[in-house]
Amino acid sequence: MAGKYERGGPAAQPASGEGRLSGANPFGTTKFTDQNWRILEALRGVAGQLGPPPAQVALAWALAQQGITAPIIGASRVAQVQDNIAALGLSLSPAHLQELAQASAPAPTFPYAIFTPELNRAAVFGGTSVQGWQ
Amino acid sequence: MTLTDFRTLGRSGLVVSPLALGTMTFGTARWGSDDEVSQAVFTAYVEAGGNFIDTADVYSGGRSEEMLGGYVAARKLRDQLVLATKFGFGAQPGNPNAGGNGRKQIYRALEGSLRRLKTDYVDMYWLHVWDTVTPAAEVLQTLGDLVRAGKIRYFGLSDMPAWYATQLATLAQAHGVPGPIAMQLEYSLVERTTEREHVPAARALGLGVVP
Repeated sequence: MAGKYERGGPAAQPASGEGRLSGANPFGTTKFTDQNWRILEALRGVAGQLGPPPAQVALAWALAQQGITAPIIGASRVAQVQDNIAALGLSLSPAHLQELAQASAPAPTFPYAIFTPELNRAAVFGGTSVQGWQ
Repeated sequence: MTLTDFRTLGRSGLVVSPLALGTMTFGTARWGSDDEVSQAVFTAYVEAGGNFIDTADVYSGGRSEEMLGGYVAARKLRDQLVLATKFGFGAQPGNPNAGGNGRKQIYRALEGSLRRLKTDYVDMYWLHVWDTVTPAAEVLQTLGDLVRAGKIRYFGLSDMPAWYATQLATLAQAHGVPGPIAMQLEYSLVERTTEREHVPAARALGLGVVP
């Protein structure tokens, strides 16, 4: 998301670029999935509208998520540190947060797909809505 | 918001910046940075007001801790900074007790980290990776003893199942002893599966999340 990689061919070289994922690394090529290229596209779209680099927007998204205390930044250049720190001043609109959330939503798996307000209302609480503590 | 809009790490009194500086790049040949650039990265973060710096015993085979320890000592910043490091990944081929989460290994790993960091305590000590075998109670007792001995101030868990963190935190609460205050997890637009178990567990248990 720092703009180091571009989509390549489908086989042994799924991406081109100069970064940690270009050579030996614990993730191998597992990060270069269709889903992740789609997420990157959405991220570049939002960043393009707002102006800052995509990595800064991705960090601002993480900072905006509930329960997150302090994302760890990794920088191999001073300019990256400064770009990352600037994410603290970037407040994404609800529409942009929603757009990024939709593009990056993980595939539903059991049993988490059951725990929705709609299903709770219809199948658990007899058609009424119940507001829990918190 | 800026780096000096501090917050507590989980339900604790440890006060940190809203962005931590990772130092896995320090001394890493291919994709990281040499000594000069690493020091400039450290200086840029600290001069912008940041106080929360993360390393691990395995980063660059110990070189990351050595470089960081040198920068902190040179600028006399030890009291102002929250230094975090980790144990868990194997350090010696053929020696199973030089890796993992057992008591023998944790004591060994911490001694090495303190030496390389040139300090007599670590502010935040992370279990780097779950070893799949050490009982939660042993990890809790070992890290609690290190808190009482003054060798570490707080501890947390990285790259582990949510149920394991829940077991440690619940045991700690039930026994009124020091418990984990945070989880360190991969979490980004391209890795959101930790939203299912880990983030809700962290909220329920008063743990911060450091992605």
